[in-house]
Amino acid sequence: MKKVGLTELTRRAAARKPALGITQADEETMRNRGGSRTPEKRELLRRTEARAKAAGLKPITSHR
Amino acid sequence: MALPDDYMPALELLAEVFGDYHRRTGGHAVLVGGAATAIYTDGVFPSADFDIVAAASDVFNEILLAHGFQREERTGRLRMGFYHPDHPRYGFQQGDPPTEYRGHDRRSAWAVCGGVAGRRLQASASHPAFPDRR
Repeated sequence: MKKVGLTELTRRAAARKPALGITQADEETMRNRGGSRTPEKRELLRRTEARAKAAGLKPITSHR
Repeated sequence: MALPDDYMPALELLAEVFGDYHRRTGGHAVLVGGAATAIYTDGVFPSADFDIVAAASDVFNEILLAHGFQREERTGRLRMGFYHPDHPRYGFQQGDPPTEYRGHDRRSAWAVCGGVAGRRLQASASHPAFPDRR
């Protein structure tokens, strides 16, 4: 098992992004659109979103 | 875009669960799917849930409950996953490796090992590894 600290891992990810030339539009296109989610997964995401709103927080976007 | 501010505290708590799981079973739970992608891309693709694979799923669930996680109240076939009252923006769920994750791309998975020291976590590439339930 190869180990890497999380700080180093995210630093590498940030450094890799400009090299890949990924734009914000690309990011949205590449997200999981949710079309293949199971019903229980959609329900989990729905409940998570509702819980965030109930706590006065902005939910993290997930396509359901 | 970086990981959300409340992501690391949730991940740190989960790392404690993973550490306890390793101490009890000798095996590693594996963080997969969207959460693994969120970490691997430093938040470019954020995820609202943590998908986990643990071979001894009953033991893992016990440890989750001991750390204050609660089962989703939903009943019937839509019941799935856990949440933690201190981390309301995130859901947590286990998959079943033999049926849900066989044969998928191992690059998408990361094990998050316990051993939290301050804000230092270790993310470890793990083989074999599995993507999340879609």
